[in-house]
Amino acid sequence: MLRVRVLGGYTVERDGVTVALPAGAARVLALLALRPGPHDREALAARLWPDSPPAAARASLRTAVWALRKALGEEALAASRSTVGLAPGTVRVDAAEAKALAAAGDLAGAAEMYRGDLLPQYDEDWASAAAAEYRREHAALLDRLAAEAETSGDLAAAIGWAHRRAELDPLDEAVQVALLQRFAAAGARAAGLASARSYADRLHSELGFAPGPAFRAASAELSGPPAGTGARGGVAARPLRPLFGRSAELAVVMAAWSAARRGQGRLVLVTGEGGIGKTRLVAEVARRAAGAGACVAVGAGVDIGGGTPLAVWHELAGTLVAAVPAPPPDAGWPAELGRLGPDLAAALGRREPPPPVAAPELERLRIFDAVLRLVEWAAADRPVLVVAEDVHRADRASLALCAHVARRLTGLPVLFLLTRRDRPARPEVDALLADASSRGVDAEELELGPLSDGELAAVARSVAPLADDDLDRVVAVAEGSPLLVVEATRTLAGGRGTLPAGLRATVRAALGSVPPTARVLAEAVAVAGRALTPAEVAGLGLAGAAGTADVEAQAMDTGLLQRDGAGLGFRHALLAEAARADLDHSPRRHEQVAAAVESAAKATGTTGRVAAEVAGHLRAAGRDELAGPWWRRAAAYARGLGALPDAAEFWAEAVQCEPADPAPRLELAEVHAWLGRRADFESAWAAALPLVAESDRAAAWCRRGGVLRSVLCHPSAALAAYRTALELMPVSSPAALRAEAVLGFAQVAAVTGDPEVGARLADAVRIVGEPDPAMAVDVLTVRLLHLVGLGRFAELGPLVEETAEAIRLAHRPDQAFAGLVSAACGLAAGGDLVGALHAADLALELTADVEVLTLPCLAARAHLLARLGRHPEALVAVTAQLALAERLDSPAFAALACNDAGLVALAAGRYAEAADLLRAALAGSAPVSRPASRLARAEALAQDRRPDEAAAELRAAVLEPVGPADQPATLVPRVARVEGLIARARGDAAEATRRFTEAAEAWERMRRPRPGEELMASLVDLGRPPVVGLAEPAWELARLAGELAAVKEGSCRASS
Amino acid sequence: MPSFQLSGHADAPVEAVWKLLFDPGRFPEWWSGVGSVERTADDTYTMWPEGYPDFPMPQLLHTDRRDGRVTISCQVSDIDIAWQLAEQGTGTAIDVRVDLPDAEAFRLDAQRDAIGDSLARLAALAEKSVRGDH
Repeated sequence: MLRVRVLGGYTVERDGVTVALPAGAARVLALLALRPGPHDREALAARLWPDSPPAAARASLRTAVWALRKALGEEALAASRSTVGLAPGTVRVDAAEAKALAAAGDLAGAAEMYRGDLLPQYDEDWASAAAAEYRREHAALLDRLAAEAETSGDLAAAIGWAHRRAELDPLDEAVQVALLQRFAAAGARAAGLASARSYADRLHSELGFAPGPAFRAASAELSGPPAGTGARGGVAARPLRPLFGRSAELAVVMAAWSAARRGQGRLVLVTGEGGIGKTRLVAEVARRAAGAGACVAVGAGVDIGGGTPLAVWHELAGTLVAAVPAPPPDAGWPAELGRLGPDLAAALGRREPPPPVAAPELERLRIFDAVLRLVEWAAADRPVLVVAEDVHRADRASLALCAHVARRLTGLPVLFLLTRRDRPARPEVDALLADASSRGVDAEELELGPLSDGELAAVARSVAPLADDDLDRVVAVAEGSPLLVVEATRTLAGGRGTLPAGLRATVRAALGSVPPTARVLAEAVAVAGRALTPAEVAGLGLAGAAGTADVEAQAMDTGLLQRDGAGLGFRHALLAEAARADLDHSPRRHEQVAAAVESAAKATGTTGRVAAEVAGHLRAAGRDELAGPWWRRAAAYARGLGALPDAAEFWAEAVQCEPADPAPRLELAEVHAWLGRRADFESAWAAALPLVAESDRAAAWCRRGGVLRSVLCHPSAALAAYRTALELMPVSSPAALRAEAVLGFAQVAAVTGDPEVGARLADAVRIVGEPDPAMAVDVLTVRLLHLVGLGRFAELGPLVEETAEAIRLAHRPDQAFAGLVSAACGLAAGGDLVGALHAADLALELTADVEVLTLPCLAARAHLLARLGRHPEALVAVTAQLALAERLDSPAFAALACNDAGLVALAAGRYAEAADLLRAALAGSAPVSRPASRLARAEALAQDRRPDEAAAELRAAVLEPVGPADQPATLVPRVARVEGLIARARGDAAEATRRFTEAAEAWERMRRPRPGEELMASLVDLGRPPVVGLAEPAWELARLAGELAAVKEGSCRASS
Repeated sequence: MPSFQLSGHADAPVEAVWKLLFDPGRFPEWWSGVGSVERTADDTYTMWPEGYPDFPMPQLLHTDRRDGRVTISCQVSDIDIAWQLAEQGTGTAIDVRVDLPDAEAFRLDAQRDAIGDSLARLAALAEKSVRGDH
């Protein structure tokens, strides 16, 4: 029997005796051994002697085959004139035998056969490709062996296999991380740390690199606190108790993870009652993902009310920014992330604050987009596992951001894993799941039920050895809950012979035996509703001579608490709840916690983030007089994040605490306005005004004017407010306030066509002298709007450049939209389409970093290009608008973009597409002229030869309410023209001619005395200038003339 | 406030009636007593009664967003005339409600007659427009 060994070297034995072969013959045998079966001689020669002429190569092959026959015997080879190979059944090859063993399930046996790389002495393509393939297979084999050993609880074997795996790829970080995780799981900290140091040294000496975040995290886990503690976070930082049961559930989540890793992003929601094992399941998935080199981030909802907006995402983003590579210098999103937390932007190398944005809604959208981009950036070079735990108690804004990210998982290598209790109900979470599914994201809910008695017994045994009777008792009392079985086991193992009835009694019993100071600490942690950081624990004022360490140790001796990366907290939220429930009402503890959190936050400059929490504790402590200022801070922080419902709630709390102070009421009124609650705004304003001191009333009215002018878009009321402010304003009032009132008045007056604009502008300039850059922009914008409102379009051109430059200097992209896009519409209305396009493009350039403002600029550009007949470019612009609107996650923006895209498609002759887009716009209640959009859709349908559908849409159009922004005078000829198109589509040339003629007569009859007013009506009624254009009678008449001629020509052809 | 309500039917589709109602330039063709009309803006126009060339009456035309009524308000006399259209088979139901200020109560009967006549003429004109012989 011939035996060929190709692993870890190359030897050939015949009947147990080593055979020496000439070099050429050895190479031929190696290749034939790797690839059984006959080989074409020509191909084989060319492969083995690629640099030789064919004849010479064939000769070399012949010589080698002759030498093989001689050395191995005639029977070893099966050769013909055209082929050569090893004779079947005569040769054993070690690599093939290893594969066969693996296929038969003997993984260890297969692994043992690997003694090194395959044929290391050959570097030709055929050999190196085979070596690489074998190496991959062997690596996978070792991974499987390690995983199986771990699952079976043989941690030592798992380390052994993981170690061999690491030797195979000594510089692979993911492999090293998996090894360290297994050292940690086995408690082999010293060996693990030695291995970690060895790897770090090797990486540095060979590649000059430092290990990455995943490795550092795993290494920190080994060097962190001893078993039972560890860093909080997605990479299960504490050594985990083995996972009992849940194999089916784990398989489901791991399958989702596998799909996500391949770029098919998934959403999995794990639901179950408290203590059922959600966190443990998720931790296992996180551990495995981190071990495989993934980026893992974990955040959780806070356990008490009054939570900070976006708290979950601050935690998640904090992990992600620490793990991602530096973003490109020109990326804008890292700075935008600073809105969520300056520390996040700083971690990405951005120290400057993000540019200011006028509206809270824009703040929210920009934060959401920045976080989404962070997730995408994290997923750019490796898979990402994002875990949001306990979303049943997450704040509203965090849930909204979860939904925003979830909708965009498709195509990302991201698994988004959420956990929640089945109670209390949070409909937002169900909506999130349904919404993601409806957008094509693979989303599923996994419900965790009770563990079986056998599984519970295994959990109990992993905690402490118990007698069989005791084991039965703890299993019986647990009722399927792994948490309860752990607590019951701990109670019995702690020497207490009787099992308390329920978790609350268990916690009471555990806390009853500790010294008073430790008990106070545990109570404070329970009241806090989250883990307390070391600084916060120190702030509780419980330290003895040796600091808080002794007290903490005593508290942790109860087995209820643990210290991890997040601080000192209860091991499970249910334990904290039980402890809290036993406390009933504890104002003292709440006040203690408030003081501790406050002092720690002041030291780190993060008072805004904890303000709601501090305020909530002070309220619970009955200290409203102290809570008021904290509610104010909380509201301001929430508003800065664009979390308006939270801001309204916090301002309302401030009002309760400080009923005689008008400031919180005025703030509350403004937030109501941002939320679109006009009646609430007026109510809060009415309640605030009598409380405002006489000397401050002018400022209050000025502020009211600002809200009515911008947020609520009520020009006449705004004008009245500014007028009152100016009347009440003493001459000695600050120049800035006076200028604000005058400019505000002028801007509203410009929109409403009030002739006072010029005088007011002159006032403003006189008051402020040399205006600062921001005010200079306001002055220019008012001038532009004034000219537009008066219809003096020809004067706009020179102001456009000046305004653009001022906007650039002042960093005021919001005014690029208000001023330049309005100017573009005015220029277009005046017939200067090229000038209008230039103004729109300037606006586009100036709003490039503010996507919500970019949208109308893109719409204006698209419309103007379409009007210039540059349809392909128009379609590109409007496609960008659609994509941007979708990304911004605003149904209103998306519907508006559909409307704009529909009109551009209609202009480009893409009728079916136009009809679909306009239908989507109308269904989405876009803030557009609905009669005009329905007419456009009816036109698209008629042009698409769908006259019946067109007629139905036309009917719907005339039944729509009509307002000034709908340009009602233009609707009559438009209706007549669409009737003509429908008649033409039905082949009724006579009716078509009648209606086209009727339309033409109506356009002829029409005078357009004040197009500027139409433009401003659009700005007031629809919230944006008419970026899709005002009606142009001359152009309409030319088009109708063409259509009439075409109908006539068609009729002539038909009759002839 | 004195008021009255009238109803009528046009054997013409809603679009045909709608175009007449929204086109002040064609009011003299069907509105009794209207001599001429000049638009001043999208939603306002000035109407001169028949025989009174020096008596301009600015009007405001708007629709009620809740129920789709077309209301024409006289800015001089404070008379509100609200027209409402609805599909009725293949034709159109036309309702009109007129509100007069107390000071104009003495004109109630005359207004009823004039609006009744206008309603009939509006329906007839719409029907004629559909037949194509306008």
